[in-house]
Formats: sequence, C-alpha cells, structure tokens
Amino acid sequence: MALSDFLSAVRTLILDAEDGPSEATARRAWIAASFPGLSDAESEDLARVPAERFGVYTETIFAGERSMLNWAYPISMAIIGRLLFERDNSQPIGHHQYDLVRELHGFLPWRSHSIRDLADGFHRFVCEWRTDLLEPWPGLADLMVMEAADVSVFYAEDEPVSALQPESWAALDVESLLMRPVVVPTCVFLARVGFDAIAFRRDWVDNASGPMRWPVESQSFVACGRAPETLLTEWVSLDGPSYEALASLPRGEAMTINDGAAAWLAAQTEDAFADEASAFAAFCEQLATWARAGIIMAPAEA
Amino acid sequence: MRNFDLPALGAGIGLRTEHYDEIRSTRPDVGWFEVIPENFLGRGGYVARALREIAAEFRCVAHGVGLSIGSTDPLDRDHLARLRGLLDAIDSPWYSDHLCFTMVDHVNLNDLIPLPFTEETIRHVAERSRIVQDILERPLLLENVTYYAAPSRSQMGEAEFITRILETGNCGLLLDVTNVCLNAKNQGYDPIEFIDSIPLERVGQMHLAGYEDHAHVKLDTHSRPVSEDTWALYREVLSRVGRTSALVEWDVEVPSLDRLLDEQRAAQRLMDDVCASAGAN
Repeated sequence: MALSDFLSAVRTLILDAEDGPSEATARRAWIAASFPGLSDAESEDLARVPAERFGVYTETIFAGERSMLNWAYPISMAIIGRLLFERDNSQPIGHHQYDLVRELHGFLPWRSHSIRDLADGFHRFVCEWRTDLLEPWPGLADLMVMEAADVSVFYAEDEPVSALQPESWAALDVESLLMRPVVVPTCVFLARVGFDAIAFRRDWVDNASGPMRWPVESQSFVACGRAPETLLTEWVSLDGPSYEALASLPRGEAMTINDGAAAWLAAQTEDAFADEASAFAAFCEQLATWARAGIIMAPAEA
Repeated sequence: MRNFDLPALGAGIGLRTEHYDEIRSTRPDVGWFEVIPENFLGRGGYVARALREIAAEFRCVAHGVGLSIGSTDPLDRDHLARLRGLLDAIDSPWYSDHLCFTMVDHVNLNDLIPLPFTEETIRHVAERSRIVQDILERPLLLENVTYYAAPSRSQMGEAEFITRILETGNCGLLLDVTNVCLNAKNQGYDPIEFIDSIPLERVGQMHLAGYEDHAHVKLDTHSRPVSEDTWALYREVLSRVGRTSALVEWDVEVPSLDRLLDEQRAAQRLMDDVCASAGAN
C-alpha cells in the first residue's frame, strides 16, 4: 500500500472520524473496514493507537485554528462566541468557538499555510453557511471584512513608496504643492459600511466585557492605511465625497496632488464650499490626515 | 564530522513578535535568533522591517514549520523559492524543519504529525530532502518531533528511522531534547539509550523547551521554562557532542525578553560547564 493511503487514514482519524470502538479486536476491524487500502500490519499499527491519542492532535489542531481566527477577527470572534453562549450557556465561549472551527473544517478545509486563506474561508463560512450568526446584526459581515483588511494592510508587501511630509507643505506655493507626486498604495483599504465602524471598534475595545450593544444603522466610510513611521495600521473616517474621490484614484500609480484635488473636488456638491480658498484648505486638511495614515504617500523616487 | 560541520553558535532564543522592539532598542547579548520564515514570507511593513534590522545585527537561523517533508502532496516549489530568498536575505547558514507531515490531501493539519517508520517513508523523505537542499543551497536539518499517536512501527523503531533518513537524505539533525524526553515518557523508552542510537555527529542544533504534564500524556506546549529532565538530558548530549547551537523555545504565553534570556543564559552556562570539564572546544 502507498504511504499516501496511510497519511490519509491518519488525517481522517485526527480530523474527521468518530472515535470508533476501543476494544482491540473491534477497533482493528473498524480500522480495516474504514481504510481498505491499508495492509493488515498497518491496520494493526493504527488500531493500537488509542482514540484519545489521536484526540490530542484533534484538540491541538482545532484549538490552534481557533487561536488564529481569534487573532484575525478579535471582535467578530468575541461577538460570535457570545452569541453562541447566549443560546447555550452550558459550555464556555471558547468551547463554542472550538465547535465552530470544527464545523468550518467540514465546510471548507484549510488548504494552504496562509492564515489569510483560513480567515477568508471563515468569512465565507459565516456568510454562506452560518447565516444564523448574522441574524442579530447583519453588520457583522462588514466588521469581519474590516478586521481581515486590518491584517492584510498590516502584512502587505512593501511598495515603492515613502512618507509624505505635510508639515513641509506650508513653505510651498500652491502650484508647487499641487505638482508634487503622490501615490495611493495598493494595500489601502476603503469601505462603505452600514454603521459607524470606527466608533464601534473603539467602543468594543473600551467595553469588551460589557453588555453587547449593536451599533445604530448609519452609513459610514472608512479607509485603512499603514502609517509610514510606525508601520501600524491606521483607520480614518471619511465623508462621502472623500470616499468617492479616493475610490476613483488609481492604486500604486504616481500622480500629482492636483490629480487628487481634482477627484476630490469633482466628488463635492456644488454648494459645499463658499469659495475656492476654503475648498483648497479643506482638501489640504484631508490630505494631511491621509498622509499621516499612509493612505496617500509619495513615490519612492520622489 | 562534528555538528554536521556547521558552526556552533552557542545558546540562542526564538525571535518572537512580542520582543521585536526591545531587541532593537536593547541589543541583548544573545548568540543568535531562530526565525520562523512562515512569519515573514510574503509580508512587508512592521515585521519585515524588524527582521531586516535584527538580521543586520544578530546571527539569524531559519526554522520552518511549513515544509511538510513527509507529505505525499507535491513539494511546494513556489514556497521553496520564496524561502530561498528569505534565507539569503538573513544569511541563514542552514535551514531546519520537522521530520513529519503537516499537509496531506492538500489539507493543512496545522500540526506536526508523525510519519510511519517504514522503508517507503525513508525513501520518500530522503528524496525530498535532497531536492529541498538543492533548491535552498544550504544544509537541511530535520527535527525529531513529539508523537502522541505512535505511528506505524512494525518495520523499525524511531532511532533507526531517524538515522536512516539522515544518512540517506544527507541531512543533519535538529535534536529536540525535550521531544526525546516526552517521547521517552509517552512511549516508554530510555532517553539515554535513544541518544546513543542516533548519529550524534549529525546534530547541528538542539531545541530545549518546557512541556505540560497531563494525566495520561505529556504535551509539548513550549509554554513553560525548560523542564528539569530536559536540562539533564541536554547535559548528557553535550557531553557527547561538545559545543553546538542550542535554542530555547517558548512560544505560548511568551515571557518577557529578560525571562527568556535567563533560560538562554542557563543553556549557555551548562554548555560552557560541560564542555570545559570535557576539555572540548
């Protein structure tokens, strides 16, 4: 028999199988029937391993995946755990999360070494398979997207960009400033969500153990970049026109501040500003915020 | 041959996210850092900058968790190509991973699952080890893993299995001293007899860690200080192999850098003591 059959049998015993009988003869027969590709000697060997020893791996594997999902989705996983605990308080939150991860494995096994793939699979699992978890608050799906984005932006591969220096802009005349080259890094994340996402994340962190309160419905726009100095993720709340402007700009391509300003102005309503000077001042203020959050940067060669 | 002809770096510690900033600001006196490449491959930003800066000042050696050398799934050559780039970037003198499988049927088991001790496994792992070394262009050390479910043992025992893989695949051994202690307890064998049955001249590196003692099984958790029985067996191994590279692993409930360095210093002192009394260099 081939090594691959043996490894597959071990995988099944660890991840998918019932414990099976414990009495030696019955266990041998059960192993032989479950894995007909194994030789008698191999069935004997596997049958000698008590089910609880395979269980050590089962526990380690799914607890490990739960830890990774707790890390990738710190708020969403906490919310899901508490939702499940409210339905059945006979088990602790961690136990519910563990069962959910086992269920995820049945729905979509993890097929790479990338935690991002595991996290993406979990999002799909919740949105397609465990939609009951979204019933109390459909915004959970958006929150999961945001949390996944936070990880993606943090780990995104380096791009040929450097920090803008907003504090130096005051010394420039308007034309020189507008002609400065800028770039929106490809890793920047933009989203339109149905709740005040930044306030909700802040409230959750401040009141993690308090009662669960769903945010009120309100459209909000957010951007996430990687702050040039710390290289940590930075979330910025946007108004609608700023979101439209940033979404319309090319990613990873050098342009001028003037290109950004034109997109931003085009997204404004006609009566948004009293005059050109106040519009320009408002744009510069936005631009400085985006620059500090790494949402707009300078091309590396600039 | 001694230390698999690799440099003896003394005692080091694993590079963990929690310590990046402190390492860069305090530059601790430590022989070397062990780097898990999967924590850096395809990643930029904060972690990439930290690795660049630390590798510029300290000796770093890569220890992988994703090679899955025993898997019957094809070797991931894209992964190996990226890995090669990272090893070159940090100037890792060797590469180590585990003698186990983590992927099977294209499913990630996310754990180090032991292989059956068979002739077929030896041929399979040896061939893949040669391919990996050709691609990475540096020595490969395979680490003995803990096993709770004893894999197929009808053809040979663990010591013979490891020995024949190392010799057939021309690999070195990353001797996890704690795993020997755990397997000896969980499987019921004599750890000294075990270390005297493996080719110690191929030991290029050692691992030392703490474990958890549960009712029916000892678990390799890397969540505690190095256990007393590990220190005792480490002393025995040192008396046979002399000065080498030893690494303290503490990956769960990671302590402060100072606490971890206490363990590293203990490992270094023991190495110095044993080697001084043996007159070894």
